[in-house]
Amino acid sequence: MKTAQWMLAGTLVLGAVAAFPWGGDGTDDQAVSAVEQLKPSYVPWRAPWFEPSEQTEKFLFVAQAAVGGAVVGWAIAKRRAA
Amino acid sequence: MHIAEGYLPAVHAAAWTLGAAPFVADGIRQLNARVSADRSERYLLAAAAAFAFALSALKLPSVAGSSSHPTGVALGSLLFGPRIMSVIGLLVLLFQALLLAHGGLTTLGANAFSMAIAGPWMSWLLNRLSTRLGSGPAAFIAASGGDLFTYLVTALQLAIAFPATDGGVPAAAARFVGIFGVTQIPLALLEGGLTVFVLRSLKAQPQEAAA
Repeated sequence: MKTAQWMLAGTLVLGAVAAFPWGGDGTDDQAVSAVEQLKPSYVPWRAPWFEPSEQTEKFLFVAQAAVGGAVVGWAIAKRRAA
Repeated sequence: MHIAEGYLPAVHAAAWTLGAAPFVADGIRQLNARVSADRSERYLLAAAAAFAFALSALKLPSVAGSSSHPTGVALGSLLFGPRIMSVIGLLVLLFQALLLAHGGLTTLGANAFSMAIAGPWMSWLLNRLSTRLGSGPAAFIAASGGDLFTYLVTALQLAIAFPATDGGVPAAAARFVGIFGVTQIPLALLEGGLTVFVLRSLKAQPQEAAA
């Protein structure tokens, strides 16, 4: 396959998986709930300095997966061409 | 495995940061030494970084209605050894902490310790131990095992910080392993398969090189 095809394949596969609304309760969030139950008096001493809106967050995750997929595809194509 | 911002007491956060720092410093030196003029190797490095960048963002459903994400750090560990992955993993985590409110700056050291250090080292070790099974199976075991180990370390980090009033650290560890463990098993297997697929596609062999 050509470079562009590998890049497109990587972008589409990873981007689509990231974009799909899978649902499910994230384990990172479940861990936070567990901390709150194990030590109810605990107050997080720092909050994220920037919290994206839900839509922005989704977009950034999809972008991260799609860009990563493109670069992996590019590297695969270059290696195979060599 | 991203411990949320502020969700480790300051002393713990500082201790994990101090623990991770020498690995990262070593990784930077290693990375400088490795990024040579060899163009073909630079493609592999790009693939290793991009794979970790993409996979650690991939929230996937798992059993029992919960979801989690792979780590993507085993590929680079197999290609280049675990030492440089401390840097690549840290950069991925930093990006997620700053832009996605995923993980955090105070927990960056702890998260780097699990995903950028413990996971890659476990992958490297498992690959070493299982090379006689053939490179494909060994890479599969390495990537799956490293993924699971990353989450196990996170569970222990949280358990040490938040021991249960009844049962202490072991009880808390059981609780956190319960959260991460079952959900992670299918994703770890998926990461193993994907890592083997990308290795094959890259026409790359896991390095026999020393760590």
